[in-house]
Amino acid sequence: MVLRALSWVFRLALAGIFIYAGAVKMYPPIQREFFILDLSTYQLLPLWAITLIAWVLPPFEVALGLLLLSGWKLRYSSAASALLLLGFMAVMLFTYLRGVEANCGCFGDGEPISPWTLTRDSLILVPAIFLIVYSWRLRPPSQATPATA
Amino acid sequence: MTNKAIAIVVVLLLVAGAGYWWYSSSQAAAPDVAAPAPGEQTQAAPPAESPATPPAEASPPPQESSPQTSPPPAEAKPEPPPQRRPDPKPEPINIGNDPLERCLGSRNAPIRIEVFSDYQCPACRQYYLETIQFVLQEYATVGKVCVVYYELPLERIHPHAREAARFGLAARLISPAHWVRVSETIYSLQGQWAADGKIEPLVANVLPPADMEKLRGYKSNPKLDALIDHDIAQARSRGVTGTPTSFLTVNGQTHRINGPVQYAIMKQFLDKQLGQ
Repeated sequence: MVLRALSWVFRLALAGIFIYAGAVKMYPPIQREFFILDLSTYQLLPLWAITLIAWVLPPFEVALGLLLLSGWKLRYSSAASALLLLGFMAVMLFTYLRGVEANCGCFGDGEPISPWTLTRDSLILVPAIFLIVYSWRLRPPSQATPATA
Repeated sequence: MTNKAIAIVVVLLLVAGAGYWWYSSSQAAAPDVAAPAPGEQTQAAPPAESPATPPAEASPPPQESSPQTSPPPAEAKPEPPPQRRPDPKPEPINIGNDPLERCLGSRNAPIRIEVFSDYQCPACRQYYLETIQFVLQEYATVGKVCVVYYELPLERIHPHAREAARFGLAARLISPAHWVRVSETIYSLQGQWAADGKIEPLVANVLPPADMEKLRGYKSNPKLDALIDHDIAQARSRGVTGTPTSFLTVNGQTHRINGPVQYAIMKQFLDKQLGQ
């Protein structure tokens, strides 16, 4: 019962975070241009790659958030969100350790990469990992093997 | 049992996270602008390089070494006391605390770029020489962009940054063209003066004697340090803790950027906003 309640809370929280993070990078439209500048501060990618990410990532985040909100294919949406968060953290940590002063670009507000932003993203990873464990542990009977059914 | 254990661990993690968040928020309430930012380096900057394209205000290329900067040969006999230059007459500073008065370009430009910078910071050097000087050349000189530079010397890690800021600000008080010339020199030769703080001979190489005398006059005015302190207070009030930090304002919307932006990306942004 506790786990079921937690899964709901975490799913809704994670969905909200992804929808918000994607939406603030797209609206108003100038935010996408600001997001391109944010990505530039990482000093990792060429202009074309930065522009591509700035166009693809925000709608992907919103779609992932909606998928989590609906609860449909939770095991895949939670795995995708955990992988995405791990990717963000790896890039941010790499940039921070290189000593590059850069914008996080996480929620469109121009905050710098810092121990705080790294900790915050690690904490967001907790519900994502919980949802992976929860959704794979409670597989529907049709997909369960006879030994575990 | 297992379920309970997982639930307890998750709740503990959430409580720890909330605690850390509260702690970070209370720390952020009083930022220390002199604290080293993650992007800052404490060692001397790399050797100076010439920019690919000269800036708008064509200036004689700064010499890598000058007779004035070479150290005197070691001698056994005691040196005569150095001849002191007479103290320059302080020039009156007729500029207020409004940083827009220092705008490079047009004050009414549709885009404003405010930069908090430290002359001894390597990332600021990169940002100025690889991006800002071309923005000045392509956009500010034709009134499309207003660039405002704030002095944010991080003196704890950059002991000569304030002195460099005095030169930069004093040059700005003469004219924008003088600021460009002096800033280009100070940033280009950062590797030379960062070690010993001998900035004046390098600046004197690129300014005519009369302008140099005027610059010394501004430097000797105590109000100059007050202007630098006002810039530092501005940084504090806007939560700036590292350099370079820029604020881009377009159509009333302001966005903060920490660190340097490549010129190609800045150009794409400016062209889009200017409808080119």
